[in-house]
Amino acid sequence: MDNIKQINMSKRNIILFLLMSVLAVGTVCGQESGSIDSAKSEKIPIWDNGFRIGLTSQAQLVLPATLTAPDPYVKSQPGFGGENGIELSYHFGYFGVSLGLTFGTFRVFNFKPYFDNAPGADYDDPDFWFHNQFHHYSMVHNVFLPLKFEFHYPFNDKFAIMADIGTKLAVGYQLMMTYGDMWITTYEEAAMKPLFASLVTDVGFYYRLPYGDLIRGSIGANVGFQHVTDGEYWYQNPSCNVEGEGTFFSRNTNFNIQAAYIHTFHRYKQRHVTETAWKSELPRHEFQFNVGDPVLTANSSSIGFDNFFYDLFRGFPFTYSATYWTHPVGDYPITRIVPTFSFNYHYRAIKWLWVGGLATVSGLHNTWHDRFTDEVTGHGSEVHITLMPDLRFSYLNREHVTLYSGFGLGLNMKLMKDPHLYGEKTQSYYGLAYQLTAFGVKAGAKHWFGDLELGYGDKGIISAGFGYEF
Amino acid sequence: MKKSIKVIIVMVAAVMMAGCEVGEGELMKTKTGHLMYLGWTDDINGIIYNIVEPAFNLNAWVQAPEEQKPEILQNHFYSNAVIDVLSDHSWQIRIDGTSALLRVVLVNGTSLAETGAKMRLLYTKDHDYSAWANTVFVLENRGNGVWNLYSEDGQIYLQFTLGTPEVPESLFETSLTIAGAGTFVERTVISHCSGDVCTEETYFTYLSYDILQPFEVSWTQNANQHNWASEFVWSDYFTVLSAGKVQLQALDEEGQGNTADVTLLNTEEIEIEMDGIVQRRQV
Repeated sequence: MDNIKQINMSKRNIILFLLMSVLAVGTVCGQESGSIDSAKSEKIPIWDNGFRIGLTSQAQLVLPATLTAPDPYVKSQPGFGGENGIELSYHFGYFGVSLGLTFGTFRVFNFKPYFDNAPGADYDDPDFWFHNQFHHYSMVHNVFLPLKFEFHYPFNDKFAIMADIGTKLAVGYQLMMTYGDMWITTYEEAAMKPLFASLVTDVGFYYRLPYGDLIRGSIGANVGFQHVTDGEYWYQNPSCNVEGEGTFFSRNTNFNIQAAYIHTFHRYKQRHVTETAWKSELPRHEFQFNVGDPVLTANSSSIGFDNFFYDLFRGFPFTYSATYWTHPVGDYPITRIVPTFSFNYHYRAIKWLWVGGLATVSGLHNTWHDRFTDEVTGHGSEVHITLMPDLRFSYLNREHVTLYSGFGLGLNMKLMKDPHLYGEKTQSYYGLAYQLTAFGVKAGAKHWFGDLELGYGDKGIISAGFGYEF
Repeated sequence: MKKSIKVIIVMVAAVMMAGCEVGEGELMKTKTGHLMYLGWTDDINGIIYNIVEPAFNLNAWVQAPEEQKPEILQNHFYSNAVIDVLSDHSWQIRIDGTSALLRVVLVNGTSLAETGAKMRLLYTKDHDYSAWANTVFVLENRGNGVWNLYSEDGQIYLQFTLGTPEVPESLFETSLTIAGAGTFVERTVISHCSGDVCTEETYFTYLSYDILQPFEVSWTQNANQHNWASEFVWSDYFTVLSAGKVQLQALDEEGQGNTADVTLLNTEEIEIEMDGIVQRRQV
């Protein structure tokens, strides 16, 4: 009977311990706690600096190719083109620098015949009329790398003006092309250069969208100082007996109107500011000492006679094999089990992710007694030691309170010696150690905290303790 | 905050100082007697559910008009159970898909109703090492609700006293007390495997019982599983022993073993006496 009372007292101790743990954690949870997510987070400027990425699109009026000598029967006219691409920019203060990658119109030929003044011009001749209406239009595209330096000045939260100047590099290419149609043939040969450079300049405005991205509108000019191509042309119009030839060159010169959508990473930057703020607000290192139930140890014990789990919760009776009934009834053991003591170190790698290690120690002790005299006849013990790396995920990160889950996986070593059962030799066994923490809470202040964890594994189904963080 | 930390530290220190006592501790003195008693009640339950109850069920089935037979079969037997009529006084109950078989012969007549009526029963099933398996039992009507059950080899004897002088369709319809003395032969088969080759060793334990005070049996109508021919069957009834005393002795093949007197104090508590040591413990 006394023994029964002793067991009940032990269980009562566990329950009392758990209640006190909850109470203690509740006490510290109740203290004032601040949030680094809101009150102390740093706001970034509306016209924030840093990297931006954009999509650009422009329509352009391309200046005509230049005829090296006046030709009474041919006029070179402007053409239209376009250019689309992306740009990556970095901004600081009122300035910025951008590098783009675009694909668009490199040069346009738009040769228009003017045979009106030809001696044999006959407007009643359909053939003449047909040739006279014809345009020789040719467009070549290329890849560009615009590099610009930008100045911008915000008027308010929505609008800013901008201007930029820079150079646009075009990839060199080898062009030997002959175009021909019913009355004119051109032959052009690109200048053999690795890069073509032109001067670019724009003026425009930024409109800031509510979520921080920008729309940019601008007009600009692209002034080419190099011949992009040199070519020859020749023509004939049999209907008016005119023949001729000439040379021309072209430059990559245009006037354009551009629209761009600029992603400023505003939210990312804002979040980044918030997310990195924890480094100055929250501790990076944590040492934790917990005491937990030893259910797993008891269940895998080799010297404990009864299954702790079944005994604790009154599981189904286990009659063992009938052969046990005839075994000599000798000494009996009083089995004591110590709680699981665990030591954790965690490093907060990022705000919500902790990496660390867990070590646990628990064990059982048998004190053997004579069945009739109750005299002690021997001792036996079993120690379980586990080591495991673990990960923790914290999903509430307040200055004073943290909620988290986690898991660990590692090695379990069992050392056992009980002469009554297994002889004098110490025996060791190795196995898998694990800990799943379903719910954990820690709360405290001034580097110290108390914690409570619920889960399953070598650390215990429930464990509580305290720790130091810095 | 400092107070909270102190509370935590004191709390942890307190737990560290006190190792919890687990297991049965001093109750281990009578652990063997407890195990013997649990094994014995397993045997009693096995006989009730596998021998006696099917005997009454079959008797009702035999006596019933044809149109009522399917209902009786449905009510009392496993859903795959089939009753084969072997002759006008012998039957066998089997479960399709298993090797379970209960052979039944009404020895002197076609009913258990008359005093002196006897029914022979033999339960067999492959790999069933229960103490009641492969044993020929005789159930005899001694009149006034008293029924004797004994094995033909003379090892097992139990006397069932029902709360009614009539022959019940089911034991669960009436109260029951159990008395008697005998020996259950427990077989423990242990397989030793080396690679794909396994050998079996059989150990015999002789569990003798002498019921010093009849055991009272009641049925609770909690849904529970019982075992018919080692197949789980859902039943509304559950055997509960509420009073009685039995002397148990377990011996191995060399005659070594233990003796225990077990008194059932109520449905949940027993008192075990072994070698002069008396302890009470939960059933």
